[in-house]
Amino acid sequence: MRLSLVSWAVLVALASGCALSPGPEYAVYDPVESVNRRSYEISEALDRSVLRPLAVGYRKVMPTFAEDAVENFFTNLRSTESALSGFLQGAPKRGFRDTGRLFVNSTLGVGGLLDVATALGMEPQGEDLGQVLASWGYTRSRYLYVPVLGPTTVRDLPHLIVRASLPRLAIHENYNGWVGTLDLASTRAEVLMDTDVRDETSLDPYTFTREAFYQRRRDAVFNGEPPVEAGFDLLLEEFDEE
Amino acid sequence: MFRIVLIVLAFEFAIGSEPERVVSEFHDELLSSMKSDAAFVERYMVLDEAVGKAFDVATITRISLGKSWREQSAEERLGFSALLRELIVATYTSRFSNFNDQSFETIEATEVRDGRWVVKTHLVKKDGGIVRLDYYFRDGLIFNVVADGVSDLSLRRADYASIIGSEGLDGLRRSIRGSIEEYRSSDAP
Repeated sequence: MRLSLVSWAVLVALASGCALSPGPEYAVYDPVESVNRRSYEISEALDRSVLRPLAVGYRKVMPTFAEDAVENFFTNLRSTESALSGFLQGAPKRGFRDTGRLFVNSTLGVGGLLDVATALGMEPQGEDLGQVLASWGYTRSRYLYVPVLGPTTVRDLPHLIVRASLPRLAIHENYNGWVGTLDLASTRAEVLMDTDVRDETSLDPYTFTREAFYQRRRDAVFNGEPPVEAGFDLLLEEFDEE
Repeated sequence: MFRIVLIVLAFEFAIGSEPERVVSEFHDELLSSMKSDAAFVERYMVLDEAVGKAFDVATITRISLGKSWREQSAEERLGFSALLRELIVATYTSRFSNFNDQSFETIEATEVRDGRWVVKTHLVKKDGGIVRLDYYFRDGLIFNVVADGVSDLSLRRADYASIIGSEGLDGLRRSIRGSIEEYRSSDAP
């Protein structure tokens, strides 16, 4: 079941990727901006009225250790995607490291509640299926703002779907509304500071979110070490032309 | 002669590169601001001087405004630069207002080419969490800060282009002034 979901999601992205027009790698590409903006507005309205208050309340009532345990638990379930993605990118070291993390945290870490692996020096690799597709050459992709789930691209859609589905797939019949709500509250709480900074800083939050999303994805594809020279060239091209 | 070379080398290693020194001094000012109980306006004054020393606000303005920069008169460009400097300082003053055992670490400084440097640093939080802060230099001054892979200048440029497109440069000025006021008022007693 899990494999079929992943395969389906990857196929959707690959099929869409075939229709891509050429353009600069990792650059913002938003040909359906009006639709995305509408989706963003709906999601924001929902976020303001339900999700953000839920996350703020969750953070208020949960002791830090319990909040960490919930976050660790869901992160551990989702690390299967990271492990698989490491191997699919041809980076077996990263794949094995995440597999090791999954094993250590699921056993010594009491089913993932404790992040023992990080304490043992096994840092999370943070891989996903979107990065796999990018490493296979799918470097330019259309922007999508999926209601409630947030920003993504066609390339990163499999990651978004798998990420949202993994807890349900992993714990089967034990997954219920409470678990889902806990996951939702924890996930939203994790990005509270990011969205608060965005709301404080940005003049056009939609554009800000989109730009930040593309940059974060590029950074993730390069494992936190994107080519520095390209960063200079992109920003200083006008100066270089003089 | 050999002794002089050794002394020069020792001095170089002790202080690091010039961009490293600029970043280190700027971080010191941020930490002072975080530890200070002074009011917003006083911390603002201190950080205004620090930003003036470390940042190339003219370049930041030019890149932020994109094509619109070319259509501006010299006077308007200076006006925008002053406004952006105010925004940058107000942002730092507001964000770096509480000390919670954070510290800064310089990881490495690399000359990419012809006076263009990147200084990679970490902001280390109390719980050990790290925020990667990369400072991009041009001609000895910072023009871009990349936090965890996200470029402040690219965000600014995209954000401003959108506002200029919908509300024009006057609309952008109004929005920036609004942001500055929000920062000032959020810190009011």
